[in-house]
Formats: sequence, C-alpha cells, structure tokens
Amino acid sequence: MTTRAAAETLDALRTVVARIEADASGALGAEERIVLGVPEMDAALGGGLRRGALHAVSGASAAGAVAATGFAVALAVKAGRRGRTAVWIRQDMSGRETGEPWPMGLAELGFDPDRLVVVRAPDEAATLRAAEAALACPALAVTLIEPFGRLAAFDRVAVRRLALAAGRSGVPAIVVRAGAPSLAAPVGFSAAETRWRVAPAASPPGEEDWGRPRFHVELVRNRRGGLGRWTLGWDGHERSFAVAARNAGSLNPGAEDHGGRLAEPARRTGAAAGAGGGLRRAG
Amino acid sequence: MRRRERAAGSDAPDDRPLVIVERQGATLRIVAVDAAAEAAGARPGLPLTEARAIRPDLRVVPADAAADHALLTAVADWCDRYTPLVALDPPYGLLLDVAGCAHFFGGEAAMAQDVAEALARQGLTARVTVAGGAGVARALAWFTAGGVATPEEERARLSALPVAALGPAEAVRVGLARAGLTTLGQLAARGRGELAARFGSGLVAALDQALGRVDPPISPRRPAPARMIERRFPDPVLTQDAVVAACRALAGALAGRLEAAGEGVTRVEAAFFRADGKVSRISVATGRPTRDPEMLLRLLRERLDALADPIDPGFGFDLVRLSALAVEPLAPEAVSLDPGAAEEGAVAELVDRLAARHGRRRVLRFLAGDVHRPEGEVRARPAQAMSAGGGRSAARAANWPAPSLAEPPRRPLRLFADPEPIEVLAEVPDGPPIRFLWRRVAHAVARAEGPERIALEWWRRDPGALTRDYFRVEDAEGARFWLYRDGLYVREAEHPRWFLHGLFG
Repeated sequence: MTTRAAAETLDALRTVVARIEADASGALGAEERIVLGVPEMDAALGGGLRRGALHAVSGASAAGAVAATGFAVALAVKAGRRGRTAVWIRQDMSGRETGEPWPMGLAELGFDPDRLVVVRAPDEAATLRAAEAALACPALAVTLIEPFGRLAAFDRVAVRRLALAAGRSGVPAIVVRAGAPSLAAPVGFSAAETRWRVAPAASPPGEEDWGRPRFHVELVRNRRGGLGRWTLGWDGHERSFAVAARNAGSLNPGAEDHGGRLAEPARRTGAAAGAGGGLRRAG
Repeated sequence: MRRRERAAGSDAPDDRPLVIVERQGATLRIVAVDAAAEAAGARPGLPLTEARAIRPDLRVVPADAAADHALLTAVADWCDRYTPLVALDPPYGLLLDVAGCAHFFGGEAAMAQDVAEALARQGLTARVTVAGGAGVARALAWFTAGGVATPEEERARLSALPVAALGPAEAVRVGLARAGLTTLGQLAARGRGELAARFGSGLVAALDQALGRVDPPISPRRPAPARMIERRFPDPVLTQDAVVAACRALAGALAGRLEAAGEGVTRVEAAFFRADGKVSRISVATGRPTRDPEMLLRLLRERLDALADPIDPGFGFDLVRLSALAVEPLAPEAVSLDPGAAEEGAVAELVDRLAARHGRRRVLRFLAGDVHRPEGEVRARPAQAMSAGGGRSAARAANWPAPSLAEPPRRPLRLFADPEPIEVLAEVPDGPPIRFLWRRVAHAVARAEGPERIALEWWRRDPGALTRDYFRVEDAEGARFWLYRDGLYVREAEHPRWFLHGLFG
C-alpha cells in the first residue's frame, strides 16, 4: 500500500518535473511522442519515444555494434516525417572500425537514402559541433550522432546542451555508439532521456528466408518511465517493429533473468499509460 | 617590373653591395645586382670573379628560382588590390589590366606612383608602366624608365626601343645586327612580309605585340569575380570586431547590388589585405543562390572559426574585399506559404553551414549508381551540389532497393570502404564458409546463403579484378556478415582469398 502511494507521489512529481523541463526547453514538440507500435514498449516509455529529446543506443557486445546501428535506424525510420531530411553525423574512426553507413542497406530497412545527409566528422569535437548545429535546425526529421572512442568531449554539460537543443527544435537526437562497446557508458549520458543496449538476435530456427533484422533490446535507463527488455524484429517494408520473442534472455551472459522484469511493462500498461510511470528507474 | 628582392629582404644592416649569382656552365655569373653594386660597376652577365676584382667586399647570394617565383606570386596577390585581373609575366614581371580601375586611384599616373611607392615600402624595386596594351607596357617597363606616357610619346618611345625588347633568339639577334636594324622604329618601317621571310613570323608577332598592333588578353591568375565590393581603411584595422563589422557592411552592400541585378551568389570570397602586403582569403559556398547578408556573414564566420591557423592581422588590414565568385539568377523573394519549401530552405542553410565548417567533401548526399561492384553502387556527392526533393528525387528513388516484404535484406547496413581480409574454413573449396576468423575472433557460421556472383562489367574488365562470390552468413550469436571470396576457385585463383565486406543490422 505504501509502495503504491509512494509510486503515485513519484509519478505526480515526475509529471511536474517534466512540465518544468518542457517549459525550460520552451518547445511544443518536446512532449510529442514517437509511437513505436509495440504496446509494451510504448507503455514503458509513457506513450512512445519523446521526440524532442536525446536517446542513446549502444551495443551490448562487440557484435552488438551493428545491431545498435540497426535499432537506431529503425527508431529513425519511426521518427521520420514525410519529406523531411535526416542528418547522420559519424566520426571517421567509427566508419573505419564498424563500416560506413551504407545507403543500399538503409533503403532495405525502409530508410530513404534520398532524404539523408551524412556528415563525416574527423574527430570527436567536430562530431559534437556538427551535432549542435544540426539539432538547432527544426526542419529535420531526426539527427543520428555517431561518435567514437571514450567520448571525453561528450561530458555532462555537452550532452545536456544537445538534449536541450533537441527539446527546442523538437528533433530527436539518437546517439549511436557503434564502436568501443567495452567501455562503460560515459557519465555525460545521464542527460539522455533513454538509454538502450542492443545485441544481435539469431534468426528463428527453421526459417527459410532468414536474416531479417532482429535484436535483443534492453531499455536500461528511462528518465520518466519503466525499463524493459524485448527481442524485436524490424520490418523495413511495413516500417514496423514486431515483438519476436517475449521471453528474451538477458543481454548480459550469466545474469539470466527471472522473467518478471520483462513482463512488467506489459502488466502495467493500464495503470501507467499516460503518466508514464514505472517502478524501475536507473541512474 | 624589375626587382632586386633580396637587397632589402634579409639583412638590412649589411650595406655591402649585393649581387645575385647563378652557375652558368663552369662560371658563376651575376644575374642581378642592387643599386650599390651597380654603382660599383657590377652588372648582370659579368662573371663573379671579375666583379670581385673590382669590389672584393661584394655580398654574394646564389639565385633561387623557386623563391623568386614565390615572391612574384605574393606580390601578384598584393596587386589584387588594384584590379582583379593580375597576370604573372615570369620570371620578374607582373601584368595588371587596369582598364576602368585607374580612376579609383586618382588616374593612371597616380596609380603607377602608388604601386611603385607601396612596393618600395616593402623593400622591392619596381618599374611601373601604364600603356595601351600588355605587350607595349611590358616592352616599355623593361627598356625605358617607365611611367605613364601620352599616346604620341608612347609611339616615340617605342620607336626608340632596342630590338632586344622583342626578346629575339640569338640567331635572329645577330641577323638583325647585320642588317643594321637596331630599334623597333627601324623594324616597323620595313614590310611585314620582308621581316617574316628573313627573320621568321615569331619576330613579326613579337613586334606587333610590342607596338600594340595586336593586344592579346592577359591570362589573369584568378577569374574576375562577377561582383565585388571592398572597403579601404586609411588606418589599418586590427580587432576582430572591426573586421567583422567591415564584413557585415560589405555583405549588406553586396546584397544590395545582387538584388538590383536579380542575382544570388553561390560562392563568395572574402580577402583581407594586410598593410604589409600579405593577403589572406577565405571562401564559402552555398547550395542554392542567396543574397541574405546575415547568412553570408554567418558562413564566413563559421569558416573563420574553423581555420586551423587563424588569420593573423599583423599590423592590421588596410583593405577588405568581398567578391561574388559565382552568381545565379535569383527571383525576388516571395513569402512562401508552402511549409515544405521553408523546411528545405532551412536544411539547405544547415548544409551550407556544416560545409563551411567541416568542408564541402564531408557533408554528403547519396546517389544510386549503376555499377555492379558494391563499392560503386552508391556514389557520395557533396550535399551542396544536390538538392533534396524536386523532380530528380522521383527518378532517383527508383534506383534504391525497395524494402521487401518477402525477403530479408540483401545488402548490409554498414560497408567497409576497404574490405577486411579474413581466414575462412570451408567444407568445399567453392562452398560457403563454416568458420571464419575476423579481427582475431572466431565465428562459427550457423547459416549461410550464397553465392551471389558479382563481376565487373564486361566493358571495364580489368585483368586484376576478380569475380567475387558473396555470401550472407549468420554466426552462432546471431550477428550477420557479408563475406566474399575473391576470384573463382581454380579458374581465376588457385587459393582465393576471403574478405569481410559488410555487416547486417
């Protein structure tokens, strides 16, 4: 009973804080949601991914680097708006280490290469600068930011500035860390609205036409909502996610889960819709 | 223009006579002298040993053609302040086309004097001539005292010039001397046919140029800008604020001119002329024509901020110039009710700013190519050169693979610019891999699909390029890779090598 009351108080406070933050960022689009189309996920996110905010996606392992790109691209497709341009800023090292984003593959995921501007930034500082410039432009559909390395330049202040810029322009910022997954998430990313860890998922056994995009996705941080873990498939033709498996294993080998955590957002759908409340809150 | 550059250039306190020497055959000969050495009796062409016999304390500097050329180029840069049309006349000359410019400097004579005095302040000795044609000016500058002459005087001076002013070859020179022809006046009195028959058509052409009978255009180092606007400062400006203020005023004035002409600019250059002669230039490009002074100023500032070594004002700039290097027609602004157009405008401006800061080649859009090799399937182009949407977009869109309902992606999400070599274990030599080692990590292949055979187009067959068999594979962890075997087994390669080319999401 007390837990419930506490949770309600917390939710109320969160709503207030959210309103203050939205006012501070001064944008109407900041509160707009990108509906992902997976009810459990949308519920955990309080109705969808917040548009005017910064979201960080990283690989859970070395093999997760590309899975992280795939998930980020899927989010970007979801965030896309008809006729609008997306900007993808990637650091040179990231292109060398994990390959260049390739328009052919992007097109097959439902991302229109004709509406893409890629900025090849030589280093971290340039990546940050270009990201700030891009996020100040409200005419974009989405900004993908792909730095590489330790991300010393992406400190708390810098990431907060990016998040505020996203709030002002209403353009979602998706930071992809394709390379260097062994490093812990830099402290700066506490300003991110959500943080995701992604690992590749094997194609279902016995499937003839295997090889569709599939990922284990873990929402490890959510500033105003629940967390969760899903195994998702992405259909580039329909531009939609599908929950491929409901009882996904943990992304961390050895930390096998009890299943409750995964089902949780689904159970809470009724109670939490709108308020975006969740029991777990990381960071 | 004649210069004895190093006279004042290096060590001023040393006032011994200076000569510049060059090895010609076995002897060192003097090629240039300063005033003191000339007074002492040294002259170009004299062997150094003879000159030393006259004046033992000569200061001797070896000739350096590359440094001379660099200096000439720097002086040419500086001369841009008089006219945008400056041409090099190596090894020691500069040609300035000042038609229509002289009145800004108080007439031709005042301009010539200004050039000579300003160069003298920089330690350069120059002879300046203004004449009706490039060839005439060149002949007068090299063989007379220079200056500005009326057309009648000009003709008289030209007639008196020695035939050496035509730069004849040795044989021709001897021939002319034998014929008793020593001045241009004497030459001009002879028939053209006669001269051409005896001394060759080259001499006649040179004579025509020197007398101004023909006036071929000079070839300026930089193309003349479509529009240009500048501001001179009697007292050189030093602070960045003052420079930016000057740029703002110039951008506003340029915008006014462009508007009057119904034009917009796509490439702008700002030039900063330092009082001591150094000239710095920065240029920015825009994807679509514009004449918004604030936007031009933003782009220029962006470019200035991005400079690895900032422009050093030294003792200040005495001239700042803004040139429109490329213009396009631009209809008068109309307030657009179409939000899409406004959005595209905002994106184009963002692209311009990113390109100004990070470089045009780092801000890219993509075109689907029609080349079989994966590397050629996509062409990256500077985003400024391509606009989104519009009519072209529909045609281009057809070339991208459509996401398929029935099939998984056939092309990877990330592609390595340089395919990475891998070690592969395959069951049969031309079959799919079972295991492979990439970056020292072993991957067990759980599924594989292929081969997809990709060969070079037959019309650009290059013997070194092998047919590639591509495989899509998934490892035990679910990561998906795009691998290929380089060369058909046995037919093209005894032991084909394997590469990892891309990664699927």
